[in-house]
Amino acid sequence: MRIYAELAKTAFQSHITFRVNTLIQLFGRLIAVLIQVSIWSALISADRGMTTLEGVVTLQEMITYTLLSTAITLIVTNNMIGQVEQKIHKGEIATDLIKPISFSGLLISESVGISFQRIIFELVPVVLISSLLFGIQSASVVHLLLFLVMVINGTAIYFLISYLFALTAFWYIVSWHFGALFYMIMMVFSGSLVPVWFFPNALSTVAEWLPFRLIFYSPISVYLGKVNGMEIIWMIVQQLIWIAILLLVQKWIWSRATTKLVVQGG
Amino acid sequence: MGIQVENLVKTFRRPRHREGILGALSDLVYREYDEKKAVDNISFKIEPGEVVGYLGPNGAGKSTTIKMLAGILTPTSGSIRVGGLIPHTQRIENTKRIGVLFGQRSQLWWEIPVSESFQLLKYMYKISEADFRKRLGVFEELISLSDIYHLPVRILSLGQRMRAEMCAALLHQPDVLYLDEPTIGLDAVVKENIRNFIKQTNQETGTTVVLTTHDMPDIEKLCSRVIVIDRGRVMFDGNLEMLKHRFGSQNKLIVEVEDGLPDPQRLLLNGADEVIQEGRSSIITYDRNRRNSAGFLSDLAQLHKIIDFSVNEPDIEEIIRRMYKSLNQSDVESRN
Amino acid sequence: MAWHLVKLYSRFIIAYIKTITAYKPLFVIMDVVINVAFTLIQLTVVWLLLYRFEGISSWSFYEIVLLYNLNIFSYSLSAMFIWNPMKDLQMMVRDGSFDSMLIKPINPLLHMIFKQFSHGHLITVIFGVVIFFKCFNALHIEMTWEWSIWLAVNILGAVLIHSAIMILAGSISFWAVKSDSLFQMVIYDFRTLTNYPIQIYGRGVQLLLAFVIPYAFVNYFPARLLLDKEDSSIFPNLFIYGTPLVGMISMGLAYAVWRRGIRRYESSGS
Repeated sequence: MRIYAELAKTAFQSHITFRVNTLIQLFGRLIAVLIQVSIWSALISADRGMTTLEGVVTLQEMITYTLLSTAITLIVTNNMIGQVEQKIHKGEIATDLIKPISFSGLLISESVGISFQRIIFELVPVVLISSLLFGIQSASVVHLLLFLVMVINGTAIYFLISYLFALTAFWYIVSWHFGALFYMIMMVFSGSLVPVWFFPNALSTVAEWLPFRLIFYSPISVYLGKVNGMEIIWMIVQQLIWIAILLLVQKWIWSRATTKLVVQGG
Repeated sequence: MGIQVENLVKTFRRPRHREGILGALSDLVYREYDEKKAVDNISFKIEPGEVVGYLGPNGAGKSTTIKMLAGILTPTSGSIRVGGLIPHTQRIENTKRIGVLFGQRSQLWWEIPVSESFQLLKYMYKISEADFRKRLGVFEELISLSDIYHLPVRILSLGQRMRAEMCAALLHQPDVLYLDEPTIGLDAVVKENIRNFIKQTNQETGTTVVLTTHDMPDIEKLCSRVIVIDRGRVMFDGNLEMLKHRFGSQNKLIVEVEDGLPDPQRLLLNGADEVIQEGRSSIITYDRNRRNSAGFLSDLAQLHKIIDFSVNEPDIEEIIRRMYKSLNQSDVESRN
Repeated sequence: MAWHLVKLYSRFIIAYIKTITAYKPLFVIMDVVINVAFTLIQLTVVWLLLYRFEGISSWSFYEIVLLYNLNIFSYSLSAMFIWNPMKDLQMMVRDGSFDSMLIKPINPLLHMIFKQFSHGHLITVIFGVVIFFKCFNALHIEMTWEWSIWLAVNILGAVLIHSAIMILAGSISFWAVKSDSLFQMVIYDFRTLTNYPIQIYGRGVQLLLAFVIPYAFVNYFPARLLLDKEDSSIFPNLFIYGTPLVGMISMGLAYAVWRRGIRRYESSGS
């Protein structure tokens, strides 16, 4: 376990070196938040809110939704697909595979390190600055804790899915295509930009059957107090079921990937 | 086409980066600079058709000079004329008359076959179809190109690539050819091919060649003249014979005697500069201008029975090494 | 001179096509899929946003699609030529391979544009034409001669603005060692601001998009001109005719900065 902690630390350190870059990235995030908040402000009347099937959604709730969604993006997303592609392209994969640690463990450690860096240098400032500018709604302690648990589960789901896409690099060499496609579809169906409340019925059914909403939409709904009791438990159970399914698929694909290892160059 | 360089100076200003986030921020506001004179008042004149070796230790300012000659860098002061043109102000005009090859950097397009790269160069330099065919004929004869002509550059070996690079640099029949380490990393056979190619191109078309190299056979085989620089200054400018005379007067006499080893002290007293004894042989270094081998041998013959001896004149590598060493010494002395 | 450049460029294009068809056909197909999917998904997000709402401050769904498409279409048209060169510039300046641009008898910027091609952006351009016609249809726009000329002139102006911004952002490499995140911010983050009508933003952002990084002239003002739309932004109505002029001014400025950058490279070597 020590080794994984060390790997995470190295990834963390190598990413804090370019501080000016971090500052600029932070600014870029703030712009994205500004766009979303401005759109919601233009769409939703500040005093009456918006009536949906799930009840009235207020502007303040949508601003909170946007901030939480940004925060989750910073915690869960990673550049694993690009990294694995690089490793295979440069032939580093061979040295990674002979190290006495598991490949997925190596990737987890690296993305945890990067996530920590992003939490400290991006998430905290973005959420602080945006809450000062636009205001954020608070939640009860129970809802906040449930939210955190669900975000951690969501991170696991995201990690496992992107890991599966990363493994396509063993067959396809340039896997960023799949990565980009996956990311785009996820951004829509996870409700990260537009909550599933506002979806047309047909699309919300599709979203229901995909795991992506469990990463963004479900935890944020819990935070905002839009779902209660049994519904929350059912969401967490769904998360765990998805994690189990993805773990099995991952195991199967990994065994096939290593037998079909195409090490490029060398 | 000749080259004239007068009082050429190139000073680099490098911002000094300060540590930490505060340092980075203050760098944005106010920068401090380190100044470094890479080329310090260099003058020389190269006649059309000359092949000149431009030598010096790493960081001496060789590449900086070549880049200024090619028009890539602007001189801080001084003047350069290449066939009457000022390279950095008449850059585009100048590029049509020069060929450049930087040993470690490809001028060819990585993904496409050599033939396609040549087609691109043909259009870029506006080479007529007839001239183009003729050039290819010449290349084929001198260095053989057909085996690699239709292969993409990325799959070529270094040697194959350098053959293609040389031809690419010469496709538009430049009057001046700048070569920065043209044989670096190549195996002996390819090196020899490249040297022959340069030599014949020079002889047949009268192309002026300026090359930097660390490879001494390159110099011996190609250069009628060498310019040696160190710390941005010209240390030597003349033909190889002069260089040998000035820095190559130390011969080595290797002697083997029957009964053990001769006394080194006695040899040093007789005027040897250095005596090294390995196994049964003694290596005696002496200055050819002051002593001769016969003197040492007759002295040794009085005490020992000589089995075998040989006299070695220094090769160019040795000469250059000795010269760099003496440059460093004089530098230490001048600092003291 | 111009004819010579056309011949040279067509030679480069031939070489490019040969390369991608020789050993990357699958990747090209995937590039097509990705680029079409990217535009479709972005539009889906707009559609989802507006599904339960009337429109964003008096802009209907198809008006916003037109606004979006003016932006992405002119961006892709410009990026097809300029994106790769400016993205690569940082690396080329850092490792000195920009040298090879300075020893050829052709303008370095042209050379950088010629030696690459971005088929990914070409796909977005082609798909953009489809979206344009879909919009014109849905909005019942009558394509008169006069109107079509305005459209063409504005797209040209927008292409100039995008190119100028990319060249400016890329030229930072001549001065700063690591500039890619700044490049990213200007090219991506700021540009997405104009996917929606700019009056949804505060005064500061509107001023920024009109005068500092003039993305508002890429799509917002042209869209108002083409849709004959009154709106509540803070700018005088005259601005809706400004795109061609802003395009030319920004391009002039960008080229001047580029030239200065090259001169700096020539004096420092990196």
